[in-house]
Amino acid sequence: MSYQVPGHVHHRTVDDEVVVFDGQTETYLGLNSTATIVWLVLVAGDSTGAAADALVAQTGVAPEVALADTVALAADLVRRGLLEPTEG
Amino acid sequence: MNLWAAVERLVDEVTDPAVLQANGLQLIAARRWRITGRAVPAVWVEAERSAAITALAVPHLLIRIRGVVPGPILLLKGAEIAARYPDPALRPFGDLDLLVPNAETAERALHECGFRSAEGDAAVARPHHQPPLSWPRSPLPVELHHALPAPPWATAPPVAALVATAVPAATGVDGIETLPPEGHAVLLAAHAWLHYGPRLRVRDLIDVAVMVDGSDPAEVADLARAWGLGRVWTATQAAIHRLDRQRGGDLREPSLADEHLARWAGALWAPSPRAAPRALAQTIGRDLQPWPGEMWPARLARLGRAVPHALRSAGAYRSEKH
Repeated sequence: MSYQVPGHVHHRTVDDEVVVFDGQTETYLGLNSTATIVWLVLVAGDSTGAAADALVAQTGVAPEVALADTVALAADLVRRGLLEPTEG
Repeated sequence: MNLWAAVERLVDEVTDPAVLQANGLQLIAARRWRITGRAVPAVWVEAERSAAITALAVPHLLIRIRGVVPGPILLLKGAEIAARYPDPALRPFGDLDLLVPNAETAERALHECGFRSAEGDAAVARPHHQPPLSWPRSPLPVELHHALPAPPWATAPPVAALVATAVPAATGVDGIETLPPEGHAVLLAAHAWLHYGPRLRVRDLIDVAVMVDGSDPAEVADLARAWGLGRVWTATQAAIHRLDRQRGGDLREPSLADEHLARWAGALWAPSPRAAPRALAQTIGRDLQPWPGEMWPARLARLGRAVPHALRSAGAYRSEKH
């Protein structure tokens, strides 16, 4: 599945972390370095599979763990309104 | 001169983080040190996070302010300068400076829509702006200026004249304007001089240099003279050009006393030697007097807290929020 960043959400990369601002709730969220790997792949329009691959490549975590964590993180970000699934 | 090459060289040559911080270079240094394999102090990583949050907050906050404050709004200094850096995240700023024709009306409008004092019940105005305000969920205080922050002996034009020349701000928020780069550059030099006199921080020099980049030097010099800041402008330009041959070892971390003395010495750059004594009296008087609305006991208490720390680092003193 692929995702996009809603218009009310803005983000900036700081070193190996990302800070996300939700303009609707006026809240800030800091993503740790692992979540940042996933975030940067997803906001580029790539799939959870690609994000899991990036996680494996950059952290050495097992592929099945990477995919499960990526899917869980994406779901959490969608629940928080910071990402939205794209059509197709 | 390649400004950024000179700045990077300075940053590379300095080993003491406090000196870089005192010169406002911590965000540039954090990135540079990371690239060059030096360990980045944790406090700088935190400063980078804060800068990112601040940058994200600006457009949202400006849209909210634009929605409730009537009339022209000119964004000055920090956020507008940051937009001219290679990456806005390299230029820290701690508040949003807005110049408005009627600061009291704007302040009332912001209070009515939910802004609160950023300094609690004891907040007082400053010589150039109303008491700082903050939006409950924003990290960035707002300062509504009724005059340009310049040395008391300068002859900056009235707000109405500045508003008449305003141009769209770089933030891209509809209805938010700023000064033309020439006027903004002179303001930046004036503001830096107001605080640091001839002992300008490297960041102040960078700010002026990026703002004036692309402008006609003669036009800016004329404008500075018209504001009574011709000598300040000449000295600031000379300091910018010296960056190219300045050594990292030349940079210092000033004490509180250093800052005050430099600020007072800044009056010697008044338009003429004859004007200097009066400028000096105005500068010292402004420094020692209470802020508008502040009572003498409160002013004396502030002074009393600072005096025992006169020889300490000004940056360290401020970070302790006296």
